[in-house]
Amino acid sequence: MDYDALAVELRKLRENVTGVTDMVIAASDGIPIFSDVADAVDPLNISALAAANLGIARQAAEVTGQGTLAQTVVFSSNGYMAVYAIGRLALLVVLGDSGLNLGRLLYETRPVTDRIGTLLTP
Amino acid sequence: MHALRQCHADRATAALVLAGDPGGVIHFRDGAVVAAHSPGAPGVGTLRVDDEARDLARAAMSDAAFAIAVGGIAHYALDESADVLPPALDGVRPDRLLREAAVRLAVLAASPCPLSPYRERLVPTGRAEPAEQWREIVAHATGRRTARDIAFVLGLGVHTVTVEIARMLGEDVLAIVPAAAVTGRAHDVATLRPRSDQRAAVAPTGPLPVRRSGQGP
Repeated sequence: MDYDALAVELRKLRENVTGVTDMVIAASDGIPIFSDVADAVDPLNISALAAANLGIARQAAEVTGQGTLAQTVVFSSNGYMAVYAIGRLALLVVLGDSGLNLGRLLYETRPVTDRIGTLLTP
Repeated sequence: MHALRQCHADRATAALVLAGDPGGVIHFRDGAVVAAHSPGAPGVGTLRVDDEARDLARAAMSDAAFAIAVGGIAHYALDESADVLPPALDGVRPDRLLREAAVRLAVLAASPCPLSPYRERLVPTGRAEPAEQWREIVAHATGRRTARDIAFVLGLGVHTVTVEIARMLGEDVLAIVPAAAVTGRAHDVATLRPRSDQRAAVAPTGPLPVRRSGQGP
């Protein structure tokens, strides 16, 4: 797998969206594939949480008949955790501080997840 | 910044949305600025509360104005349907806010080593011992964070932190991480293989206990 290309995609996302602090690409079963995180953030924990989060949200989308799940966002007093589905096999977690520009993140992430999806399934 | 003056002249009650990097939103009520937010500056909820807490909202507003001014603005739009929040402080004339932002930009430009709060990521050089008041900032300069990111972690104004970092760059306490530096790490994807190889590691157990009626606690 082209890990350098994954690193470049994550770096671009972090540079383009103010407030992004950490990112993890994981398989949809919660096993991390590539991470760019601070020392205090455990990619194993985050990946497992994100997979569970996405699984519940995906079921909610199906049960309510609202189509295919695109993302979930956890809003907290000091920041955000956004989880994006990359096809059905992988996911992208983005952590941000309280200043995260969420609108910009939504806009910038879609092409990034498309490219990451291509990199993961060559 | 013609738009700001126009909002004042029109006694507008609206949100001036400045799209950019990082951009921001300036809220007007009757032509006076009552709030300013930017992803580039910690808000009132993030700023550390100290003895000057009474002026926290005002400090956050000035810092947001600096954060918007020091970045780029691509375009702007006036949103008159936006909810203008109940003002946390008396309105400020936009002229005054602009003057403050100009002074802050000049202070940064005059510092030994001006930098962008958004682009440059910082790391300690290890060559010079940081002064006592700088230790906190240095501790958070991990090579992944910009001046803006450190301001958010510490709950300090982005202008204050950026100017202090500019001084530290001048005194060789901090250095800028090369832009091409790639961060992140790959994880062992071998764990994605089927688990059949690991089956022998699980100790065999006897049959599960059977519950019989009437014998339970």
